Formats: sequence, structure tokens, C-alpha cells
Amino acid sequence: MSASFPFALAALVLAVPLVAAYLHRRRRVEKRVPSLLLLRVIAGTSRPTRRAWSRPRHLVSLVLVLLALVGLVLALVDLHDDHLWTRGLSKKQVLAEIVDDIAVPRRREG
Amino acid sequence: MHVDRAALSRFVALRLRAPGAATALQAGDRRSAFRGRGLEFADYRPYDPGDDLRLVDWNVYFRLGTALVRQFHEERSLSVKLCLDVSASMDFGSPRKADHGAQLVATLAMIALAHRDPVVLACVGGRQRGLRARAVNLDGMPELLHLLERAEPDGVGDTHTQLVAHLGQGRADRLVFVSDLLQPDSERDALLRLCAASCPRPIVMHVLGPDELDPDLEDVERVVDAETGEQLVIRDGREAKAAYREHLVQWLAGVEARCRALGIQYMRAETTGTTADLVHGPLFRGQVVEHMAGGA
Repeated sequence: MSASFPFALAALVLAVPLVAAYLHRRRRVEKRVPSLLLLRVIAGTSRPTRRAWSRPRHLVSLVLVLLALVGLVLALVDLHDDHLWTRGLSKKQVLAEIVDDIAVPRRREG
Repeated sequence: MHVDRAALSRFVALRLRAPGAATALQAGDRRSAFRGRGLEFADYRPYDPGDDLRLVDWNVYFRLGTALVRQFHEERSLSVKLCLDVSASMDFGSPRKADHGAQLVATLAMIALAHRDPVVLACVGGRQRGLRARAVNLDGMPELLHLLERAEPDGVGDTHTQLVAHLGQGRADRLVFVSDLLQPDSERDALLRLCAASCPRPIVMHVLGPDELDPDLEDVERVVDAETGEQLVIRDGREAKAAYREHLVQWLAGVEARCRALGIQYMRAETTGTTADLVHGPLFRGQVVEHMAGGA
């Protein structure tokens, strides 16, 4: 395999801020309410301590975005198959075009 | 609190409907349980020295030889008491529950005073004391509005004690208590029982804001009670929201059932609706207000 623009692979670095954006959670805040009377039913027993990276939000969406990024980078890199070179043939040999026109009837001149 | 004064004049064509005989000391146009001077004959009673001789029925005297005095149904005004909850829990929502309640109370006061029904207004449940005003006709309306506009929901006071002090002063033919009813169960029940004991058919107007009906708890880690300062860590998620909604429905149904059991007319006054909708809707259907053409 060979790449026409190998430097485009650097665009994969964009995955880092993407993943970070998905892992980021707004800081959970404290809220003043008129009364706790109605909210006791949804009261937790302890402070939630789950770490953000243990379960990123919208996991499917993150995977799809990462796949799209990888696809874009691969398109930019322009990978192509180079198995002919691996068999010891030079590029000129491969690209040489031999035209045999003996059998082609020629128009008589004059 | 804010009161839209311009909107009040739209309701002068209505008047409060009397749930029974009027008891105010002020003369009016409503039938009362008192006997005395009036237009509608009520009964006879034996003559007592000092009675007005013009009230003696001479036909009966000449026929039976007994002096009887004619008695008439006295016509009195309706005595109206309005109580507005100004505890800290009313300081929420958009529009604020306190402003919505103040507008509602001002509207009812305007309807009553336009027909010379005396009104006593008290703001209870807050830190400020002495938030009380009285008016016997429209001349006293500015004083009531001034009281509403200078009162602000803050802190938490002893609502029950303040309500006892307010209701203990004179009788009431109509009692309207405007509150969000976010007191502890025992305190709320005591308030409702007090209302029921103070008036034949009291009205409780339950002010509900979006904060109660559909609270936004996303990314909220803990909630703090505005009145008590108590804190709770809350669960997030769909199950929690579903549990809250279910609990809210049960709570509302419980409050309404308790009011009915105590003979209280219960009405919801959601802040998302307008006062006009409330007056022309539930208050009209509930026979709390009527058009001027209606009977007393």
C-alpha cells in the first residue's frame, strides 16, 4: 500500500478534541427550588461519583463521527495498491505501452 | 409583587356570588340571616317596649288583640377575606407565583369592592408581619394594591399562626386562600382545616408554576429548599422524571381530595394561564363569581 499524501494522516489528530467533546459533561450544579416536598421521590442516596470517561454520552454518535473522520482522512491520504512494484518491476516497465500495428492494414499511398 | 392595575377594570361587571346568607355589618344588597329593617318580610315577633311603633302590625292587633312587630330580612354586604401566601416558595417561576397570586387576589378584591362587599386582605407565610389591609368600597382599592405591591415573598413565617390571627378577626362569608400549598403535609392539613372551620365554603386556589409541573433537572446535582435550606442529591434520568410525574399527580389528587372532604372549593391557578381565563373559567363554573344579572 502506498499513500499519495501521507501527511494527511495528521488530520487524525482531530479525533482527540472530538472524543474530548463527547466526554465533556457540563458541571452538575446546585439548584434552588421552591420546596423539596415533591422532589424527595427522586432523591438519590449518595453523591454520584461515576467518572465521565466510563460512559461517554451518545456513544453511537461518537462512533459514527469517528468513522466519518477516519474515512475522510483515508480519502485525503489517497491510498492505492502497489503490488506490481513488490514483484520487482520498475514503474517504467509497468507503464510501457507496446503497440503492434503489423496486422493493421495500411492505406495505400498515391 | 407586581399587579397589573390596568387589567383589573375589566372585571367590574362581575360580582362575587354569595354562598349563603351575608353576615357583614355593612348594609348591602344581599339577603342576610339578620332580622330587622329591609324590604322582604320575614316573620312576626311580640312587641317589646321600645320597638318602633311603625313596625307594629295594627291589623293583627285589632283582630287578635296582641301587638306583633313585623320583621324583615336585612340586606347586608358579603364579607370577603383574601389570604395570599408570601412564603419564599412563591418567589419562583416565570411569571412568579407570587405575582400571579397577587394579580388574582387583586382581581377578586376589585370584583368585591365594585359591589361594596368589604374586603380584608392579608399576606401570610412570609417574614414580614402586619401585611393586612381592609377596604369597604373602591375607595379602599389603592390601599389593597399598595399592600400587594410592597409585599415580597421572602423567608418562611408561621403561616398557621398568621392565618389564625387574620381569620380570627370577624366573620367571613367568602374566604379565598391563594397558595402553592408546598408546606409539609401536617402543616398543610392544619391550614386547610383552619380554612374549612372559618367559613361555610372557602376557596383554595392552588398556584402551580412550571417549576412544579415540569422541573428542569438536567445537569442538576443537588437541589436546595428555598425555605428551609435543606439539600437533596437527586437522581437524573428518565426513570426519575417518570417517578416525579407520577408522584406529582398523586400529590395533586391527594390535596384536591382532602379539600373536597373538608368542604373546600379547590381550584388550580397555573401561572401559565391568565387571570382572565381563571375568572371566566373555573371561578365562573364554580359559582364563585357571576354576572351582575345573576341573583344574590
